Amino acid sequence: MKNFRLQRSGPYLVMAPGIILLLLFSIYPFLFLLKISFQEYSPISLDKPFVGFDNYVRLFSEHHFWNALKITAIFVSSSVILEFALGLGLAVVLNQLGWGQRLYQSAMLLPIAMAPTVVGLMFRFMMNEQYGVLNYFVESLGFSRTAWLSDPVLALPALIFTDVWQWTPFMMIILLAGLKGIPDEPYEAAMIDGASAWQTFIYVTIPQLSRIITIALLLRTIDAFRIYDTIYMMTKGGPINTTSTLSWMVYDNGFKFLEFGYGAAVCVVLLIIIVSLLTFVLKKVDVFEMGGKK
Amino acid sequence: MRKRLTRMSFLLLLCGLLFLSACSSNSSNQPANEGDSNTGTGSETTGSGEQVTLNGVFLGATWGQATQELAKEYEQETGVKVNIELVGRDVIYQKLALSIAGQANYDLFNVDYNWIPEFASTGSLLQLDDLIKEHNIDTSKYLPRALALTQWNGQNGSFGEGGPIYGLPQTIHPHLLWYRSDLFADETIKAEFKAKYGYDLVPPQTMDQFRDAAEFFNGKEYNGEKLYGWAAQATKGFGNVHTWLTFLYSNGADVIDWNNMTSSLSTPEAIEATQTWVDLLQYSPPGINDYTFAEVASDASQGKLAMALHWSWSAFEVDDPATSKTVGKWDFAQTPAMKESVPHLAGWSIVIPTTSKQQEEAFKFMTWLESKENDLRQAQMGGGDPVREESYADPALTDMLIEGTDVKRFRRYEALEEAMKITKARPFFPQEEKWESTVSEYLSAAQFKQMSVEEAMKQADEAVNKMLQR
Repeated sequence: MKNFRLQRSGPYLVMAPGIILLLLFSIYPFLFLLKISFQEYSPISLDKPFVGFDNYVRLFSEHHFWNALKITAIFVSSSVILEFALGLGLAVVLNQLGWGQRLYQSAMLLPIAMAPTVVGLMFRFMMNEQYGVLNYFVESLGFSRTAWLSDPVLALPALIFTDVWQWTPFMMIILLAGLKGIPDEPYEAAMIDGASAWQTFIYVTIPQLSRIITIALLLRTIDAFRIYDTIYMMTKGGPINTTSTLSWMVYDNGFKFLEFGYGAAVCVVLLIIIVSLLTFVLKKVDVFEMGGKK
Repeated sequence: MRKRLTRMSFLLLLCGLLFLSACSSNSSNQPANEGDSNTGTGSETTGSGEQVTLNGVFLGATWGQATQELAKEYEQETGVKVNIELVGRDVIYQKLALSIAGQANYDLFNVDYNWIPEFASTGSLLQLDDLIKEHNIDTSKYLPRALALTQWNGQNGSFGEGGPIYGLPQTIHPHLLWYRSDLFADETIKAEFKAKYGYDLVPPQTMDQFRDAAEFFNGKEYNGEKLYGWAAQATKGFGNVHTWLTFLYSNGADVIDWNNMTSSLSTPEAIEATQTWVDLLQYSPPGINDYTFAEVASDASQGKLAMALHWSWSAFEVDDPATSKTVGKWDFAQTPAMKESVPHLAGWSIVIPTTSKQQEEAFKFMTWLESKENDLRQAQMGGGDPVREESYADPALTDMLIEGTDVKRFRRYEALEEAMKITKARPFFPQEEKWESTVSEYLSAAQFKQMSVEEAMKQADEAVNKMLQR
């Protein structure tokens, strides 16, 4: 009887520290965040009155918010799609590579190991209009120098390019792991049925990878929504406000203007967007039922 | 059911991770060696006989580095240990706010003066008047406009009107006109200029002269180096606002109608000044709209500019033989006048947060650092420009030469002293930081021609008024 009880409570005991940590460091901060989003909250002011939905009303009536939402949507969708396409391509190529696979793999992982601030600074220098190495190549190809980061049209693509450079290897490594886990049998069957390489890729590889693809896309999407360090180092939300994303808006209002209440409201809206997106994706693709069990 | 639970747990975990990472940044608000801190009693040791330790946060600029060095001497002299953290501007602001909110153990902050009304209005900064009186500190020795940066009488737009003192100035740097004296003295160039414009080439005193000189030099080759007419910081954030203010003030405009507390950015004077500045950007290097003070100083030292509107303090960079191609070639004058010359004043002060547990010890260090001797020494060590009037006439500085040359190291002081009589600070009111950010965005739109200057100023007015009403 005692053993049975222990057996039943065992998993809960093992999970307890994790749940306590989650409550302490995630749930409590979230509830606090939610609370202050209804307050006029400045860390240096003793008076922190409740203002109801004022912060949210202000948020939805400000063009900054809609601009930041648009920029975030463009940034997240472009960078994640590009990273996925390139990452998948690289993973397929690497998977078929015989000699030097590990070497290439390790070399390609270097960008992930770098801090986003370092990457941001590095690209800021490389994209400098006057002495940046990028313009050196542009000029040697006969084109004129370009203001990559101070041109309102080019700044966001430059930021997306930087993100793609850093995070494509992350996508690649997850997809490569997925590719390595696909058994040989479906490929043998496809070969016997006379499927072409493209048909095999579309009808065998992609379905087998679908859950891994979903997880990779989810993780990158969440991460892309949070981009801040790179923006700080490269553009600081400018020129004008062409690279001002929602997470930059949180920083601007929260830490630059000390409007914690308003910044918290932006956080809550950002969270709702991400969670809605996740729920939608998870409903469509069941990532937990590995092996196709229903 | 089980599937739904698993899905919910996964979502919860992801949200948790998201917020954990969001909350983890800026969490290191405590001093590096908090364990050293004690509750002070106004002497070198605490009641329990332990050594007094002060914790300060300073800008990672030359004057912050000088402070760090001098703090070591202070410890030798007094036994009081002063830990100085050097960080960036944004980080100081955040640390100050969060340390006040979290009662962190910081005693001194190096602040950009525009934060003083904001933090003073919430009672977060220590008023120093009683301590000044008690310790017989003669504040009349400070440059009046430098001291005024630390005062706030609770009224909006009250720069220079006195009021309680919340800090001591550490360094000031008004805008000066920088010009290449070798170019302006070159006989061939002078003749060429006169032939084109019909008057002698002199360091510009008016904006028209400045425009002519900028146009004349822009694109010219001199000793194999392509020149640009002029440069000044123009990046969004605060760079463009700081340069633009010099134009605006010199055209007799102000940014806010202080009697009615409404924005006054679309007055004819403000629009004219803004248009003049935007038009002049065509004579600046490519990428000027992304220039911070670092790029201006770098271009100046590499011989790419004929003129600059730049901080006085930054002049050390063009006189550094190790990195500059233009050592001793720059000279300094008053910023050109539209109606009159009114340079924008920048400066950094030292304040004590009310949360400091060692306020008197912090005050003693602050006054020691800004004493006559150390005001000079900071300048000699390459720190900021002095804040005491007497320092500007002291031969220890005025006769000092750049090593290995016969060029006076502080030749800018004459112009600087003059500028300190006419310079004007950024608007003095608690929402200044937000105001700057708001205006910066519209200036940026005008710089990039996304809006006409008139439209940008009109929209900036609306945005500022909206902000002021909140």
